[in-house]
Amino acid sequence: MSSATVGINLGIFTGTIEWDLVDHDRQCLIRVLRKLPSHEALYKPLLGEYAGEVVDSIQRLEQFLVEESLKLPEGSKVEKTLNVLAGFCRGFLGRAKEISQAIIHYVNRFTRNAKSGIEIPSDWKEIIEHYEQVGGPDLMTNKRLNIMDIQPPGYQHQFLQALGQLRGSFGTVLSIICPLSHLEIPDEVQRMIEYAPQPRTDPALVGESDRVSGDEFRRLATEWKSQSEFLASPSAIAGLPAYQAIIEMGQAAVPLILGELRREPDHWFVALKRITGADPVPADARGDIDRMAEAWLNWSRGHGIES
Amino acid sequence: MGSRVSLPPSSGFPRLSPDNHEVTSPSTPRYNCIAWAAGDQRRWWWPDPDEVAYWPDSAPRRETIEAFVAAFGTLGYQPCDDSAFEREYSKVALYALEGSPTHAAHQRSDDRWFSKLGRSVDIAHALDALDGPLYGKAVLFLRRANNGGSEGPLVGAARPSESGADV
Repeated sequence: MSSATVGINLGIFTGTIEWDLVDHDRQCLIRVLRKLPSHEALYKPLLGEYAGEVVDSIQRLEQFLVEESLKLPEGSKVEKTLNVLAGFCRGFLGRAKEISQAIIHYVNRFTRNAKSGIEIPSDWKEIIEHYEQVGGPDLMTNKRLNIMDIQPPGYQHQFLQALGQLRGSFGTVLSIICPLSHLEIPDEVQRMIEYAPQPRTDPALVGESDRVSGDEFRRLATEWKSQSEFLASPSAIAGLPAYQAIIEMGQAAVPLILGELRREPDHWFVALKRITGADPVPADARGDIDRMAEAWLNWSRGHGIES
Repeated sequence: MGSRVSLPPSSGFPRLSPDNHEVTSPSTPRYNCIAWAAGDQRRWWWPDPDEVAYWPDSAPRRETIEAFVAAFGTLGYQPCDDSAFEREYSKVALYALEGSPTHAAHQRSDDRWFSKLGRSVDIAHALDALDGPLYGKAVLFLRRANNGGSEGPLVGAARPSESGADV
Protein backbone atom coordinates (compact mmCIF):
# COMPACT_ATOMS: atom_id res chain seq x y z
CA MET A 1 0.00 0.00 0.00
CA SER A 2 1.25 3.47 -0.83
CA SER A 3 0.15 6.55 1.06
CA ALA A 4 0.32 10.24 0.27
CA THR A 5 -1.15 13.55 1.29
CA VAL A 6 -1.25 16.36 -1.22
CA GLY A 7 -2.41 19.91 -0.83
CA ILE A 8 -4.44 21.19 -3.74
CA ASN A 9 -5.96 24.46 -4.80
CA LEU A 10 -8.65 24.28 -7.46
CA GLY A 11 -9.83 27.83 -7.04
CA ILE A 12 -13.21 26.80 -5.69
CA PHE A 13 -11.72 24.17 -3.38
CA THR A 14 -8.60 24.35 -1.26
CA GLY A 15 -7.58 21.48 0.94
CA THR A 16 -5.73 18.24 1.26
CA ILE A 17 -6.44 14.76 0.00
CA GLU A 18 -5.22 11.67 1.74
CA TRP A 19 -4.81 8.86 -0.70
CA ASP A 20 -3.98 5.39 0.50
CA LEU A 21 -3.78 3.09 -2.45
CA VAL A 22 -3.97 -0.67 -2.14
CA ASP A 23 -2.03 -2.65 -4.66
CA HIS A 24 -4.87 -3.67 -7.01
CA ASP A 25 -6.00 -0.02 -7.16
CA ARG A 26 -2.48 1.06 -8.04
CA GLN A 27 -2.06 -1.61 -10.71
CA CYS A 28 -5.38 -0.66 -12.26
CA LEU A 29 -4.42 3.01 -12.34
CA ILE A 30 -1.16 2.11 -14.07
CA ARG A 31 -3.10 0.16 -16.73
CA VAL A 32 -5.37 3.15 -17.31
CA LEU A 33 -2.45 5.57 -17.63
CA ARG A 34 -0.73 3.27 -20.11
CA LYS A 35 -3.89 3.06 -22.17
CA LEU A 36 -4.48 6.79 -22.43
CA PRO A 37 -1.94 7.46 -25.24
CA SER A 38 -4.10 5.34 -27.58
CA HIS A 39 -7.02 7.76 -27.09
CA GLU A 40 -5.60 10.69 -28.93
CA ALA A 41 -8.91 12.54 -28.94
CA LEU A 42 -8.16 13.41 -25.33
CA TYR A 43 -4.95 15.29 -25.92
CA LYS A 44 -4.17 15.81 -29.60
CA PRO A 45 -4.23 19.31 -31.10
CA LEU A 46 -7.66 19.83 -32.60
CA LEU A 47 -6.55 20.33 -36.19
CA GLY A 48 -6.70 17.09 -38.11
CA GLU A 49 -9.21 15.38 -35.84
CA TYR A 50 -12.32 13.87 -37.41
CA ALA A 51 -15.66 13.99 -35.66
CA GLY A 52 -16.56 10.30 -35.99
CA GLU A 53 -13.09 9.24 -34.88
CA VAL A 54 -13.20 11.49 -31.84
CA VAL A 55 -16.57 10.03 -30.88
CA ASP A 56 -15.34 6.46 -31.48
CA SER A 57 -12.29 7.05 -29.37
CA ILE A 58 -14.27 8.46 -26.45
CA GLN A 59 -16.81 5.61 -26.70
CA ARG A 60 -14.00 3.04 -26.51
CA LEU A 61 -12.40 4.89 -23.62
CA GLU A 62 -15.68 4.93 -21.72
CA GLN A 63 -16.08 1.17 -22.22
CA PHE A 64 -12.49 0.55 -21.14
CA LEU A 65 -12.90 2.62 -17.97
CA VAL A 66 -16.09 0.82 -17.04
CA GLU A 67 -14.46 -2.59 -17.66
CA GLU A 68 -11.47 -1.64 -15.51
CA SER A 69 -13.67 -0.31 -12.74
CA LEU A 70 -15.55 -3.61 -12.66
CA LYS A 71 -12.30 -5.42 -11.88
CA LEU A 72 -11.97 -3.52 -8.62
CA PRO A 73 -13.85 -3.96 -5.35
CA GLU A 74 -16.87 -1.74 -5.16
CA GLY A 75 -16.09 1.50 -3.37
CA SER A 76 -12.32 1.46 -3.85
CA LYS A 77 -10.80 4.88 -4.56
CA VAL A 78 -9.72 4.05 -8.08
CA GLU A 79 -13.01 2.31 -8.87
CA LYS A 80 -14.81 5.53 -7.92
CA THR A 81 -12.35 7.62 -9.88
CA LEU A 82 -12.75 5.51 -13.02
CA ASN A 83 -16.51 5.81 -12.80
CA VAL A 84 -16.19 9.59 -12.56
CA LEU A 85 -13.93 9.60 -15.64
CA ALA A 86 -16.36 7.33 -17.50
CA GLY A 87 -19.12 9.79 -16.56
CA PHE A 88 -17.12 12.62 -18.15
CA CYS A 89 -16.97 10.54 -21.34
CA ARG A 90 -20.71 9.91 -21.31
CA GLY A 91 -21.32 13.62 -20.75
CA PHE A 92 -19.28 14.44 -23.83
CA LEU A 93 -20.98 11.75 -25.91
CA GLY A 94 -24.41 12.97 -24.90
CA ARG A 95 -23.57 16.56 -25.81
CA ALA A 96 -22.01 15.49 -29.12
CA LYS A 97 -25.18 13.56 -29.95
CA GLU A 98 -27.37 16.58 -29.16
CA ILE A 99 -25.26 18.81 -31.39
CA SER A 100 -25.27 16.20 -34.16
CA GLN A 101 -29.04 15.76 -33.99
CA ALA A 102 -29.58 19.51 -34.16
CA ILE A 103 -27.42 19.82 -37.29
CA ILE A 104 -29.12 16.78 -38.88
CA HIS A 105 -32.53 18.29 -38.13
CA TYR A 106 -31.72 21.55 -39.88
CA VAL A 107 -29.93 19.93 -42.81
CA ASN A 108 -32.88 17.58 -43.42
CA ARG A 109 -35.46 20.31 -42.96
CA PHE A 110 -33.78 22.80 -45.28
CA THR A 111 -32.94 20.10 -47.83
CA ARG A 112 -36.62 19.12 -48.02
CA ASN A 113 -37.62 22.77 -48.37
CA ALA A 114 -35.08 23.34 -51.14
CA LYS A 115 -36.38 20.29 -53.02
CA SER A 116 -39.91 21.67 -52.70
CA GLY A 117 -38.80 24.96 -54.19
CA ILE A 118 -39.04 26.82 -50.88
CA GLU A 119 -36.40 29.47 -50.33
CA ILE A 120 -33.88 28.62 -47.60
CA PRO A 121 -31.34 30.85 -45.83
CA SER A 122 -28.26 31.39 -48.00
CA ASP A 123 -25.87 30.25 -45.26
CA TRP A 124 -27.72 26.95 -45.07
CA LYS A 125 -27.40 26.42 -48.82
CA GLU A 126 -23.63 26.47 -48.33
CA ILE A 127 -23.83 24.30 -45.23
CA ILE A 128 -25.90 21.65 -47.03
CA GLU A 129 -23.41 21.60 -49.93
CA HIS A 130 -20.58 21.33 -47.43
CA TYR A 131 -22.09 18.28 -45.73
CA GLU A 132 -22.82 16.66 -49.10
CA GLN A 133 -19.09 16.88 -49.84
CA VAL A 134 -17.84 15.57 -46.51
CA GLY A 135 -20.16 12.61 -45.95
CA GLY A 136 -23.17 14.04 -44.16
CA PRO A 137 -23.98 15.89 -40.96
CA ASP A 138 -23.92 12.96 -38.49
CA LEU A 139 -21.03 13.94 -36.23
CA MET A 140 -21.28 10.62 -34.38
CA THR A 141 -20.28 8.54 -37.39
CA ASN A 142 -18.69 10.85 -39.97
CA LYS A 143 -14.97 10.06 -40.17
CA ARG A 144 -14.35 12.44 -43.07
CA LEU A 145 -15.52 15.56 -41.27
CA ASN A 146 -12.71 17.48 -39.62
CA ILE A 147 -14.04 18.90 -36.38
CA MET A 148 -12.73 22.31 -37.42
CA ASP A 149 -15.10 22.09 -40.41
CA ILE A 150 -18.28 21.49 -38.41
CA GLN A 151 -20.91 23.95 -39.61
CA PRO A 152 -22.58 26.23 -38.67
CA PRO A 153 -19.89 27.86 -36.52
CA GLY A 154 -22.06 27.92 -33.40
CA TYR A 155 -22.29 24.13 -33.40
CA GLN A 156 -18.57 23.75 -34.08
CA HIS A 157 -17.94 25.94 -31.06
CA GLN A 158 -20.23 23.80 -28.92
CA PHE A 159 -18.51 20.59 -30.03
CA LEU A 160 -15.08 22.05 -29.23
CA GLN A 161 -16.33 23.29 -25.88
CA ALA A 162 -17.64 19.83 -25.02
CA LEU A 163 -14.36 18.22 -26.03
CA GLY A 164 -12.40 20.86 -24.16
CA GLN A 165 -14.46 20.28 -21.05
CA LEU A 166 -13.77 16.54 -21.28
CA ARG A 167 -10.04 17.10 -21.69
CA GLY A 168 -9.88 19.61 -18.87
CA SER A 169 -11.79 17.32 -16.52
CA PHE A 170 -9.55 14.33 -17.30
CA GLY A 171 -6.41 16.43 -17.03
CA THR A 172 -7.42 17.92 -13.70
CA VAL A 173 -8.35 14.61 -12.09
CA LEU A 174 -5.31 12.70 -13.35
CA SER A 175 -2.85 15.48 -12.55
CA ILE A 176 -4.04 15.29 -8.94
CA ILE A 177 -4.17 11.53 -8.45
CA CYS A 178 -0.89 10.69 -10.23
CA PRO A 179 1.33 12.45 -7.63
CA LEU A 180 -0.85 11.05 -4.85
CA SER A 181 -0.17 7.59 -6.23
CA HIS A 182 3.55 8.27 -6.63
CA LEU A 183 3.13 7.91 -10.40
CA GLU A 184 4.70 10.21 -12.91
CA ILE A 185 2.19 12.42 -14.70
CA PRO A 186 2.23 11.23 -18.33
CA ASP A 187 2.93 13.83 -20.99
CA GLU A 188 -0.52 13.12 -22.42
CA VAL A 189 -2.18 14.26 -19.22
CA GLN A 190 -0.28 17.54 -19.32
CA ARG A 191 -1.44 17.97 -22.90
CA MET A 192 -5.05 17.25 -21.98
CA ILE A 193 -4.91 20.41 -19.89
CA GLU A 194 -2.83 22.28 -22.44
CA TYR A 195 -5.25 21.49 -25.28
CA ALA A 196 -8.43 21.91 -23.27
CA PRO A 197 -10.16 25.02 -24.65
CA GLN A 198 -11.22 27.32 -21.87
CA PRO A 199 -14.67 28.84 -22.32
CA ARG A 200 -14.48 32.19 -24.07
CA THR A 201 -10.86 32.84 -23.09
CA ASP A 202 -8.80 31.07 -25.74
CA PRO A 203 -8.69 33.37 -28.79
CA ALA A 204 -7.50 30.57 -31.08
CA LEU A 205 -10.59 28.52 -30.39
CA VAL A 206 -13.23 31.09 -29.62
CA GLY A 207 -12.57 33.52 -32.45
CA GLU A 208 -13.12 37.22 -32.75
CA SER A 209 -16.84 36.90 -33.34
CA ASP A 210 -17.45 35.41 -29.90
CA ARG A 211 -16.03 38.40 -28.09
CA VAL A 212 -19.22 40.30 -28.56
CA SER A 213 -19.87 43.66 -27.03
CA GLY A 214 -23.21 44.53 -25.51
CA ASP A 215 -23.27 47.74 -27.54
CA GLU A 216 -22.88 45.85 -30.83
CA PHE A 217 -25.57 43.37 -29.83
CA ARG A 218 -28.00 46.16 -28.95
CA ARG A 219 -27.25 47.98 -32.21
CA LEU A 220 -28.03 44.83 -34.19
CA ALA A 221 -31.11 44.06 -32.08
CA THR A 222 -32.50 47.55 -32.70
CA GLU A 223 -31.80 47.28 -36.43
CA TRP A 224 -33.44 43.86 -36.57
CA LYS A 225 -36.57 44.98 -34.70
CA SER A 226 -36.97 47.93 -37.01
CA GLN A 227 -36.55 45.90 -40.19
CA SER A 228 -38.78 43.02 -39.07
CA GLU A 229 -41.63 45.13 -37.71
CA PHE A 230 -44.17 44.11 -40.36
CA LEU A 231 -42.98 40.54 -41.05
CA ALA A 232 -45.05 37.52 -40.04
CA SER A 233 -42.74 34.68 -41.07
CA PRO A 234 -40.17 33.60 -38.46
CA SER A 235 -37.97 32.46 -41.37
CA ALA A 236 -38.08 35.94 -42.92
CA ILE A 237 -37.57 37.55 -39.53
CA ALA A 238 -34.56 35.32 -38.80
CA GLY A 239 -33.18 35.78 -42.30
CA LEU A 240 -32.56 39.50 -41.86
CA PRO A 241 -28.84 40.39 -41.88
CA ALA A 242 -28.85 41.86 -38.36
CA TYR A 243 -30.42 38.70 -36.94
CA GLN A 244 -27.95 36.52 -38.83
CA ALA A 245 -25.11 38.63 -37.45
CA ILE A 246 -26.38 37.96 -33.94
CA ILE A 247 -26.56 34.20 -34.64
CA GLU A 248 -22.98 34.33 -35.92
CA MET A 249 -21.87 35.79 -32.59
CA GLY A 250 -22.38 32.27 -31.26
CA GLN A 251 -22.54 31.32 -27.60
CA ALA A 252 -21.37 34.72 -26.44
CA ALA A 253 -24.65 36.21 -27.66
CA VAL A 254 -26.79 33.79 -25.64
CA PRO A 255 -26.68 35.66 -22.29
CA LEU A 256 -27.43 38.91 -24.12
CA ILE A 257 -30.37 37.37 -25.97
CA LEU A 258 -31.71 35.87 -22.75
CA GLY A 259 -31.39 39.25 -21.05
CA GLU A 260 -33.36 40.81 -23.89
CA LEU A 261 -35.93 38.02 -23.67
CA ARG A 262 -36.34 38.66 -19.94
CA ARG A 263 -36.68 42.41 -20.48
CA GLU A 264 -39.02 42.31 -23.46
CA PRO A 265 -40.16 38.96 -24.91
CA ASP A 266 -39.67 38.88 -28.66
CA HIS A 267 -38.78 36.48 -31.45
CA TRP A 268 -35.34 35.37 -30.31
CA PHE A 269 -36.21 31.69 -30.41
CA VAL A 270 -34.74 30.84 -33.82
CA ALA A 271 -31.44 32.38 -32.75
CA LEU A 272 -31.43 30.50 -29.45
CA LYS A 273 -32.24 27.19 -31.15
CA ARG A 274 -29.62 27.61 -33.85
CA ILE A 275 -26.86 28.78 -31.50
CA THR A 276 -27.40 26.32 -28.67
CA GLY A 277 -28.86 23.34 -30.53
CA ALA A 278 -31.31 23.02 -27.64
CA ASP A 279 -35.10 23.17 -27.78
CA PRO A 280 -36.58 23.44 -24.28
CA VAL A 281 -39.99 24.65 -25.51
CA PRO A 282 -42.76 22.05 -25.15
CA ALA A 283 -44.62 21.37 -28.40
CA ASP A 284 -47.84 22.78 -26.98
CA ALA A 285 -46.11 26.10 -26.19
CA ARG A 286 -44.94 26.80 -29.75
CA GLY A 287 -45.95 30.26 -30.85
CA ASP A 288 -46.84 31.36 -27.30
CA ILE A 289 -44.13 33.94 -26.78
CA ASP A 290 -44.52 34.19 -23.01
CA ARG A 291 -44.38 30.44 -22.43
CA MET A 292 -41.48 30.11 -24.86
CA ALA A 293 -39.56 32.86 -23.09
CA GLU A 294 -40.24 31.20 -19.76
CA ALA A 295 -39.00 27.82 -21.09
CA TRP A 296 -35.76 29.36 -22.35
CA LEU A 297 -35.14 31.31 -19.16
CA ASN A 298 -35.68 28.13 -17.14
CA TRP A 299 -33.31 26.32 -19.49
CA SER A 300 -30.66 29.01 -18.99
CA ARG A 301 -30.93 28.72 -15.22
CA GLY A 302 -30.52 24.94 -15.51
CA HIS A 303 -27.37 25.47 -17.57
CA GLY A 304 -25.90 28.12 -15.31
CA ILE A 305 -26.14 30.84 -17.95
CA GLU A 306 -26.57 34.29 -16.46
CA SER A 307 -28.49 36.86 -18.45
CA MET B 1 -65.07 59.35 -37.36
CA GLY B 2 -63.18 61.35 -34.76
CA SER B 3 -59.40 61.10 -34.40
CA ARG B 4 -58.26 58.24 -36.61
CA VAL B 5 -54.79 56.89 -35.97
CA SER B 6 -52.90 55.89 -39.07
CA LEU B 7 -49.44 54.51 -39.86
CA PRO B 8 -46.71 56.78 -41.19
CA PRO B 9 -45.72 56.28 -44.85
CA SER B 10 -43.77 53.05 -45.38
CA SER B 11 -41.82 51.92 -48.41
CA GLY B 12 -43.21 48.42 -47.82
CA PHE B 13 -46.79 49.63 -48.29
CA PRO B 14 -46.74 52.33 -51.00
CA ARG B 15 -50.54 52.32 -51.32
CA LEU B 16 -51.22 52.78 -47.62
CA SER B 17 -52.59 56.25 -46.82
CA PRO B 18 -54.58 57.83 -43.98
CA ASP B 19 -57.65 57.53 -46.21
CA ASN B 20 -57.60 53.75 -46.56
CA HIS B 21 -56.67 52.42 -43.13
CA GLU B 22 -56.92 52.97 -39.41
CA VAL B 23 -54.86 51.59 -36.52
CA THR B 24 -57.10 49.62 -34.17
CA SER B 25 -54.71 48.24 -31.52
CA PRO B 26 -51.25 48.75 -30.00
CA SER B 27 -48.21 46.80 -31.23
CA THR B 28 -47.56 43.35 -29.78
CA PRO B 29 -45.22 40.50 -30.72
CA ARG B 30 -47.59 37.92 -29.19
CA TYR B 31 -49.59 37.12 -32.32
CA ASN B 32 -49.30 37.72 -36.04
CA CYS B 33 -51.59 38.19 -39.01
CA ILE B 34 -52.28 34.49 -39.46
CA ALA B 35 -53.19 34.07 -35.81
CA TRP B 36 -55.36 37.21 -35.96
CA ALA B 37 -57.19 35.93 -39.03
CA ALA B 38 -57.63 32.58 -37.27
CA GLY B 39 -59.05 34.29 -34.20
CA ASP B 40 -56.09 33.57 -31.92
CA GLN B 41 -54.50 36.46 -30.01
CA ARG B 42 -52.20 34.30 -27.91
CA ARG B 43 -49.90 32.66 -30.41
CA TRP B 44 -47.76 33.36 -33.44
CA TRP B 45 -48.86 31.11 -36.34
CA TRP B 46 -46.53 30.11 -39.14
CA PRO B 47 -45.31 26.82 -40.73
CA ASP B 48 -41.66 27.72 -40.13
CA PRO B 49 -38.98 25.04 -40.49
CA ASP B 50 -37.43 25.95 -37.13
CA GLU B 51 -40.74 24.98 -35.51
CA VAL B 52 -40.86 27.96 -33.20
CA ALA B 53 -44.34 29.10 -34.28
CA TYR B 54 -47.65 27.34 -33.77
CA TRP B 55 -49.10 25.48 -36.73
CA PRO B 56 -52.06 23.07 -36.72
CA ASP B 57 -50.82 19.49 -36.54
CA SER B 58 -52.93 18.35 -39.47
CA ALA B 59 -51.59 21.02 -41.86
CA PRO B 60 -48.21 20.62 -43.58
CA ARG B 61 -45.45 22.67 -41.98
CA ARG B 62 -44.38 24.21 -45.26
CA GLU B 63 -44.36 27.83 -46.33
CA THR B 64 -46.72 27.27 -49.25
CA ILE B 65 -50.18 28.51 -50.18
CA GLU B 66 -51.46 24.91 -49.92
CA ALA B 67 -50.26 24.64 -46.32
CA PHE B 68 -52.07 27.85 -45.39
CA VAL B 69 -55.26 26.65 -47.06
CA ALA B 70 -54.97 23.43 -45.06
CA ALA B 71 -54.39 25.35 -41.81
CA PHE B 72 -57.46 27.54 -42.33
CA GLY B 73 -59.29 24.40 -43.42
CA THR B 74 -58.92 23.12 -39.86
CA LEU B 75 -61.05 26.13 -38.83
CA GLY B 76 -63.72 25.44 -41.43
CA TYR B 77 -62.52 27.82 -44.16
CA GLN B 78 -62.72 26.76 -47.79
CA PRO B 79 -61.44 28.57 -50.90
CA CYS B 80 -63.97 30.88 -52.52
CA ASP B 81 -64.17 32.94 -55.68
CA ASP B 82 -63.52 36.49 -54.59
CA SER B 83 -63.29 39.12 -51.87
CA ALA B 84 -66.88 40.34 -52.22
CA PHE B 85 -68.56 40.84 -48.85
CA GLU B 86 -71.17 38.17 -48.07
CA ARG B 87 -73.13 38.79 -44.90
CA GLU B 88 -73.43 35.10 -44.00
CA TYR B 89 -69.68 34.38 -44.39
CA SER B 90 -66.38 35.38 -42.80
CA LYS B 91 -63.56 35.67 -45.30
CA VAL B 92 -59.78 35.46 -45.19
CA ALA B 93 -57.47 36.89 -47.85
CA LEU B 94 -54.07 35.25 -48.31
CA TYR B 95 -51.32 37.53 -49.58
CA ALA B 96 -48.27 36.20 -51.37
CA LEU B 97 -45.12 37.56 -52.92
CA GLU B 98 -43.60 35.56 -55.78
CA GLY B 99 -45.67 32.56 -54.74
CA SER B 100 -44.67 32.60 -51.07
CA PRO B 101 -47.27 33.44 -48.43
CA THR B 102 -46.59 36.69 -46.61
CA HIS B 103 -49.75 37.80 -44.87
CA ALA B 104 -53.43 37.21 -44.19
CA ALA B 105 -56.29 39.63 -43.60
CA HIS B 106 -59.83 38.82 -42.52
CA GLN B 107 -63.23 40.24 -43.23
CA ARG B 108 -65.93 39.39 -40.74
CA SER B 109 -68.44 41.94 -39.70
CA ASP B 110 -68.60 44.29 -42.65
CA ASP B 111 -66.86 44.91 -45.94
CA ARG B 112 -63.66 46.14 -44.33
CA TRP B 113 -60.56 44.01 -43.91
CA PHE B 114 -58.60 43.58 -40.71
CA SER B 115 -54.88 42.85 -40.44
CA LYS B 116 -52.20 42.40 -37.86
CA LEU B 117 -48.96 43.72 -39.34
CA GLY B 118 -46.11 41.49 -38.15
CA ARG B 119 -45.31 42.38 -34.55
CA SER B 120 -46.74 45.86 -35.14
CA VAL B 121 -50.31 47.09 -34.87
CA ASP B 122 -53.72 45.82 -36.00
CA ILE B 123 -55.33 47.90 -38.70
CA ALA B 124 -58.64 48.06 -40.52
CA HIS B 125 -58.04 48.69 -44.19
CA ALA B 126 -59.09 48.48 -47.79
CA LEU B 127 -58.07 45.14 -49.30
CA ASP B 128 -55.49 46.59 -51.69
CA ALA B 129 -54.02 49.05 -49.18
CA LEU B 130 -51.29 46.55 -48.26
CA ASP B 131 -50.30 45.69 -51.83
CA GLY B 132 -46.61 46.30 -52.42
CA PRO B 133 -43.09 44.93 -52.20
CA LEU B 134 -43.48 43.61 -48.65
CA TYR B 135 -46.65 41.51 -48.85
CA GLY B 136 -47.22 41.27 -52.61
CA LYS B 137 -50.99 41.14 -52.98
CA ALA B 138 -54.02 39.04 -52.06
CA VAL B 139 -53.89 35.90 -54.19
CA LEU B 140 -56.49 33.63 -52.64
CA PHE B 141 -59.72 34.01 -50.66
CA LEU B 142 -61.24 31.60 -48.16
CA ARG B 143 -64.61 31.70 -46.45
CA ARG B 144 -66.65 29.96 -43.79
CA ALA B 145 -70.25 30.35 -42.71
CA ASN B 146 -70.67 32.71 -39.76
CA ASN B 147 -72.98 30.34 -37.96
CA GLY B 148 -71.88 27.10 -39.55
CA GLY B 149 -71.18 24.05 -37.43
CA SER B 150 -67.67 23.75 -38.80
CA GLU B 151 -66.34 26.90 -37.19
CA GLY B 152 -63.20 26.32 -35.17
CA PRO B 153 -62.77 27.71 -31.67
CA LEU B 154 -61.53 31.24 -31.21
CA VAL B 155 -58.67 31.39 -28.75
CA GLY B 156 -58.35 34.52 -26.63
CA ALA B 157 -59.88 36.48 -29.46
CA ALA B 158 -61.87 39.67 -29.63
CA ARG B 159 -63.62 40.10 -32.93
CA PRO B 160 -62.69 43.30 -34.72
CA SER B 161 -66.11 44.78 -34.16
CA GLU B 162 -65.59 44.32 -30.41
CA SER B 163 -62.12 45.84 -30.32
CA GLY B 164 -63.08 49.43 -30.78
CA ALA B 165 -62.51 49.58 -34.52
CA ASP B 166 -64.57 52.30 -36.10
CA VAL B 167 -64.08 52.15 -39.80
